Amino acid sequence: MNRGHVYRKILGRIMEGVCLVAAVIAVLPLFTFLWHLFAQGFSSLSFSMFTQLPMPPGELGGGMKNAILGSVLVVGLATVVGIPVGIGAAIFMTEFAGPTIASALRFACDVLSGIPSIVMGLLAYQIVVVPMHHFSAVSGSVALAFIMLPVVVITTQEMLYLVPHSLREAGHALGIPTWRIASSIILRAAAPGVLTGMILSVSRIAGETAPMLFTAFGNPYLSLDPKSPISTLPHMIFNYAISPYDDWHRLAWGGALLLVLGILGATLLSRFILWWHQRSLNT
Amino acid sequence: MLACKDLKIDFDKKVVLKGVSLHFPANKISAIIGPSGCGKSTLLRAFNRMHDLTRGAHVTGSVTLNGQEIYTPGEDPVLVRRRIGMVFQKPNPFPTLSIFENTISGLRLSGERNSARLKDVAEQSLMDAALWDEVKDRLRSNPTTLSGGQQQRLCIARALAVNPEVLLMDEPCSALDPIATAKIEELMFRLRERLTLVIVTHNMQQAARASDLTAFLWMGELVEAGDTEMIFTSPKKSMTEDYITGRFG
Repeated sequence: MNRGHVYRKILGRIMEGVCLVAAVIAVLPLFTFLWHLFAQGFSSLSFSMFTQLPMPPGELGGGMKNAILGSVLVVGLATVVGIPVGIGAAIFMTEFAGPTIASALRFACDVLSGIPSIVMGLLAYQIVVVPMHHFSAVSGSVALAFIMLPVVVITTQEMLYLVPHSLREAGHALGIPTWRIASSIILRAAAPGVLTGMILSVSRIAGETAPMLFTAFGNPYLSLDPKSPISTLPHMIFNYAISPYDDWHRLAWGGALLLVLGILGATLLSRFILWWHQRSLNT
Repeated sequence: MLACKDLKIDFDKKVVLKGVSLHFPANKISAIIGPSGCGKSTLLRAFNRMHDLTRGAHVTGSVTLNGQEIYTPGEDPVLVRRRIGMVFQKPNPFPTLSIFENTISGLRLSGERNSARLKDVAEQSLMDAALWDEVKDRLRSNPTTLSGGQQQRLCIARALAVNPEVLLMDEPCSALDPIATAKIEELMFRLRERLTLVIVTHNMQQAARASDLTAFLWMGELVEAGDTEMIFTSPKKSMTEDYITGRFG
């Protein structure tokens, strides 16, 4: 072995080490975060968190029932509107539109998905809150629907593209109308992927806080009226975390843990659906 | 009878078919042969207006089924395709539908709801495609559990269920082994009694043994067409002879 060879070997090892350190640093935030979250939040996770309303400042105890139900309502309303519209738009772009219109729409969706969520909140404020003269759950849902729409369109479109062209040809050759081919054959073949995209888009909006500040606004009482201000989980975490009370900090950690567990669960569920689908295709 | 007259097809001005006139009599198997890129698949796909789905494709000339023009403006290509069915090179059953649902997909997805009728048609079509005995106990299974040859016969059953007058087959056996190929050819002979069959093949033995009429295409032009026996034993053009004896292509 000459000296050049030894030098190259050592350099190779050093570079490998540098990359390993970079990889560790890249995943470190996730584990630090999870460790903190569990350490601080686990003790505050309790049954009363789901069943009790917040207590006035200074009184101990209380829960986040209003925020949990509020998040379900606001996210649910956004989902009911966002997902059908998003899937419909994706089907239009892949199955019906010409290449020019499809790529223009796709570009619009790419731009839309990059717009900061607070700007989407501002838009919802302008078109819902201002005409209604007050904050409301429905304005929060509108903001979240705007945020989720491009996510649904883009993931659905990717999944529809993966369906082989030969299935579309087979459908046409049987004299099946295009809309039936799209809905009964192509969408069905892409269903597991589309479902995964839906789950991910829901977990994406479930954690949105910024647009809630001036749409759903928050509400310390239990409200399930879409026309009234409503509390959502991320917004309540924000309010509690910046409060001066230790007991509220504790609840904020508990709420954060709940939110993260929900998103983690949704991500795992979507991975499972894809895995299960892959497996059933291979057998 | 299916016929085309002076059929020209180009894709974004790139001419693939330069004016072909042919006729395909009912109850006969007609084979279209020729080297790769000669335009034989392009010709076949013009017969059920599949080129309508390809952007940039431009078809001129005439295609008639029993004297009726299928390229008449206002004629719905969906209705044309119900009369002129097609089977593709690679078996393409719908993977999310069961064997039964695949067989009746053309009818059900076009609005037929009578379940008794759908059941009858499914059974009849699978019998016509010589697949019934192999699948009757697993109609609810996924078509991907079938072999390649069975999948191709399922695709034929699916095409027959719509009750077409013509069946176009685009190299239907090129993905299959010799035994599965023999089964498809046997099936073609039986289907000949009720249908007009047009098959594109790059396998000259297949054209020779399984067709009544043969058309030889070269570079987008028809070189020669006639009785299969005549084409393979005493072709009029020397180019045909060169091709079938394997001197080019």
